This record gives sequence, C-alpha cells and structure tokens, in this order.
Amino acid sequence: MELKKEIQDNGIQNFAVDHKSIFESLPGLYLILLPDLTIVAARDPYLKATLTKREDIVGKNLFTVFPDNPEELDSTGELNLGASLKYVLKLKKQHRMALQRYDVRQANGTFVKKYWQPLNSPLLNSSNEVVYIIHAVEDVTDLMLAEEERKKHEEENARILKDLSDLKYAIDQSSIVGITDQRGIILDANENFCRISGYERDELIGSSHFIINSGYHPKSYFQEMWRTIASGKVWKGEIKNRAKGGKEYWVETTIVPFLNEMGKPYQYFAIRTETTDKKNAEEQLYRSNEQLLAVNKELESFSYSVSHDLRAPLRAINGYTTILKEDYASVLDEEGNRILSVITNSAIVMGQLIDELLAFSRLGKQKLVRVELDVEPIVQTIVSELKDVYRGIEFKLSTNISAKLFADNTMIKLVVTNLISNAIKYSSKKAEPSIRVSCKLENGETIFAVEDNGAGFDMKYYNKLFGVFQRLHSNTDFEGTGVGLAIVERIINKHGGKVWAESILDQGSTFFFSLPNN
Amino acid sequence: MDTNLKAAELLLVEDNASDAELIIRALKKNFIGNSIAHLKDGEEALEYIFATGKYSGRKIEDCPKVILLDLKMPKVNGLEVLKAIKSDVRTKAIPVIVMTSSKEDSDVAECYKLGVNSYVVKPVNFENFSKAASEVGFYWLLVNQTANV
Repeated sequence: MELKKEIQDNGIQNFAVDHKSIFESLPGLYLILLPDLTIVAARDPYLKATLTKREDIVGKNLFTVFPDNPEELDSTGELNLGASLKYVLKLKKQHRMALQRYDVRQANGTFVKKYWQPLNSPLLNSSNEVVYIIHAVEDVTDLMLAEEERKKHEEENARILKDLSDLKYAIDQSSIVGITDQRGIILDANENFCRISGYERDELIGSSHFIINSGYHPKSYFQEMWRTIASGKVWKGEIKNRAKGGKEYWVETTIVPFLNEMGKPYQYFAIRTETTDKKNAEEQLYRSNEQLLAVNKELESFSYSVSHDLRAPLRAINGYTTILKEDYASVLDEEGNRILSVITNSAIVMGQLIDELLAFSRLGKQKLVRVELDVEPIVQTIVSELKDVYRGIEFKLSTNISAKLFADNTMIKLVVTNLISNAIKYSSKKAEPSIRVSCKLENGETIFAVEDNGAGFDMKYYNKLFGVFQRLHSNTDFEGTGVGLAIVERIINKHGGKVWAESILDQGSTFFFSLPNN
Repeated sequence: MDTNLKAAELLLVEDNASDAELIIRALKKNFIGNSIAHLKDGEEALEYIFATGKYSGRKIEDCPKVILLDLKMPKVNGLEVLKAIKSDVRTKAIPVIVMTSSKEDSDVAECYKLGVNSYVVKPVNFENFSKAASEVGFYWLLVNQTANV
C-alpha cells in the first residue's frame, strides 16, 4: 500500500514537470499560442497534418508559419483565423470557426489544399487575463475533397442528363421513335409515332407492334428482323406500316437493342423516318421502267416486222414492174415505159429508206467496243471504196492525220464513210472537187474533220442538219435519204463525243467530230 | 403436183406468193431448176422432207439437192425447219440456203449456229433479187459437190 501511494505521489509531481511532453503526444490536433500569436506548443498530430516540424514553428508567429496560399487569390484563411483569434482575445470566449479552407505549404514550397474545422479557446489566469489560446483543429480535408468529388459527379451527371434529354428532344423532333419490350409490346411512343400511326399514345402503349402491321411484308421478313435484334444486333430496313385509318406509310427503320448486364436485350429502341414519298417515287420509277421495257420490246418487234413485212410488197412492186417491162415493153409506148421505171425506182428508194431507218434504230442497241485505231489506213480504204460508188467523179484528196482514234471500229468507219461520202457527193458538181481529211489532238480531245469545197449549206438551217430524214438539198440536186448525218451524230454521241459543222453556201463545208481521249 | 414434188431437185419453202413467183422466174430464166418444188410453210416443208403426213408416200432418201428456206413463215418458221434438217443425220447433208427479207443479227447468228450453208438477204431491187436467187441456185445445184447421202 505504502509503495503504491509513493508511486502515485511521484506521478503527480512528475506530471507537473512532464506535462509539455504529455501534451505533445496526445491525440487531437492542438496548437498553443501566446496572446501575441507566437506558437508555444503543438501536438504531433497537428504537425503531421500541417506538414511542419516542431522546431520550425515553435517560437514563431502563427501567420509567419502559416501564410495564405499565394496561388489562391481569394484565400480567406489568414483573415478569418485572425478575426477569430481577435475575438477570443477580446471577448475571452471560445470561438468555433466556420469550416475553413486553409492550404498548407509543403517542403518544396508548393501548397496542398486543406480544409479545417477550427476551435479557438482562451486560457485565462486568475486575474482573468488571456495567457494562452488553445487552437484546436479537425482536419476535414478528406471529407471535403470527397464532397467536392461528389458535387463534381453530380454536376457531370446533371450535364449528361441534360445532354441526353437534348438528344431525346432532337430525335423526337426529327424521327418516329418507339420503344418495345422483348416481345414487341410498345412501352413508349413519341409524338411523331402517334401522328403518323393515327393512334393516341395510350392506344399504342401496351399494344403489340402488330397494331400497325400492313401485311405487306412476308412473315420471313419480320422473322429475320427478330432474329437480328434478339441476338443483340442492330437491324435496319424499310417497312410498310398501316395507320389507324388504314392509310399505309413507309418508314426507314433502325432498331437498336438495349442490352442488360448479361448482354441480353431487354428493350428495343426503334428510330424511324418516313420514306413514303421516296418509296412511291421508286415504285413509279419501277413501273415506268417496266413500261419502257415493254415499249422497247414492242419497238423491237415493230422494227423486225418492218424489215420483213414492209420489204416484201416492195419486192413485189419492183419485181412485177420489172417483169412487165421485160415482157411487155413492146406493147407500151415510151411514156408507159418511163412510168414503169419511176415505179421500180421508187420501190428501190423506199427499200433504201427502210434499210437506213432500221440501221439507225439498231444503233441504239449496239454495244461499243473501243479500240485504238490508225486513221490513215481507214480513210484510204474508205476513199477507195467510195471511188467505186462515185465512179466518174474525180476529186483531190489530202490528209493531215497526227492522232489516233479511240473508238468502235465498225461504227467509226460508218461515220467516216458517211462524212467522206457526203463530201464527194456535194462537191461533185464543182470543177475541181477537193476533200481534206484531218485528225489531231486538241485539249485532250481527238478532233476529226472532213472539209470539202462543195455546195455547202445555209447556216440558218443548221439546227436541221443532223435530224433524221432532214435534208438541206433537194433530191434532184443531190440524192439522199437524210439519215447519214443522223447516224453520224448518234454514233458520236454514243462515244461521248460531239459533232458540229461549218459551212458557207456554194463554197464548201467542214464537218467535225471530237472524241474524248480515254 | 405431188408427183412433180417427188422428183424435185430444188425445194423452195416460201409463204409469200410473189416472192416465190419471182424466185422461180429468176431461176427458170437462168435455166436452173428443172424441177422446183414450192411449199408454202414450214409444216409442209417438214412433212415433205421427212416424208410424213400427206407426203408419207415419199422416201426420205429422195431428198432435194438444195433447199431455199424463208425464215418468217406461219406455223413452223424457217429456223425450226433448219434445226430439224440439220439435227437429223438423214437430212443434215442437204445444203440449206436461208433467203430472207432482213438481216437481223440475231437471225444470222442463229442460222449459222444451226448449220445453215448460206444466208442471203432478198434485195428490193428485182435485178439484184433475181441475180441473187439464180446465183444461189447455180452454185448449190451445179457447182457444189454434195456428199452422197
């Protein structure tokens, strides 16, 4: 008992001596200040929280040791703490400060964000004077930072929500939107959906999507759609639906499955755009095309029939008239024989007309086979062939050919034949017919020209020049059917080229065509 | 007429009476075809060539030396007749000359595919027409050496 008492007495005595070190090692963040704000003592936890060392702060002024963060222009730490301490000194009462931000300087001089909950208490002596101020703080930085983080998240969430609702608004404005569950029961429908379908929102929600089925598509079409979206894939397609009143409409549809955490669709989000007009136009186009094909087929059989059936009676006319001339020439007088000749010649001319017309109409069907062609031999061959046709007509030919033609061999020969044949024909009445053929490259195009010094034509009739059966000279002056230049134009157009001509009446003409060089 | 047909050297299958008359006249004027048989459609031609129907009394071996065949005919057209002739071993050696009004590319190609020996377009001009007819007859009857069927 005695020993115990002694220990107790020693302890009490020693406490008086050791109270400084006992204070310093106690938990809680405390700082003891003199009334002039010189730091007297600090607890270890306080030092730790403020990143300071005891020897660096004890004996120094509080604000020398803990200045405001110069980076934070609107810091109020010093100001608020100063005011609170003044309050304590003056009123000698405890003061609990509001939650403070008061940044702490690190060893490298930069500051760390810190939040504090400070409590300043005066320690009075017997004469009721303030001897010390006990500055107790609670470090609430982690709490505050967590709160800040939470706020930031909240703001971000709010922004995302706003973005989402903006997006929804935009989609609602532009599209027909519907949401269904996995079975196709409508969960939501926007205004556009209601308007186009003719149903109220209440009527749609809870109904099966079948409510707007038009019956147009085969079952397999929707089976394929369901297979796609049920497997979690986006489906796109065109659907014909039926509105409440029976009116049908087309929609271009994108169905996006919304997946749960297991990756299975729990909802289908369908965005649709009406394409009824486009669809109708397409159908119209399809029908027109069908009609066109039918007309083309009819035309083909027509031209086949023309070439057979129209020629047969002509052969008969010509043939029997010839027989008449052969067998009964002696019975007829001169006039009678002349009339028979007119009949046979007319039949022959009509035969030619039919042939050329058919050739012209066949051009449309023919396929182009472009090859590189040497022009000089083509011109020479054609000219020598034409010399046979126009026997007795002497003409001078000169060529100036520096380019090749990239064209269909057969067709381009027909073009060149027609042009040179015209040149010979229309210059045949001149004293010295002369024909010049040229072919050269110009601005990436090949330009072919046939020039003659013949009869020419009046440029004011130029617009008739390339028309079918259009002639600018009478048959008594120059024979012809009026198909040649139409064929020339058609062939050159088919090649993507151009045809044109220049002429001075009685002085000659030049006919040109250009072909793209690729 | 049937008796004449049996011995015909040249078989003309032509539905157009005028064309037929003009061809026959042109041939005769050029002393070709002492025996010409003229049939008016493809059906009759097939019966004649294959000795069936009203020509069942004929023998297939008594075949003409040459056949002038129009394409556009009622009932059985020229292409069908040509096909029948050229796909039968008993008749495929008979020279067949198609004489037609038009030169439709598809017809020409089809005829040559089926094995036609010549393809002639009937000109409107009678002089050319009779020249063409007689040249064809002359060549195929007098110049050409056919294999013995």
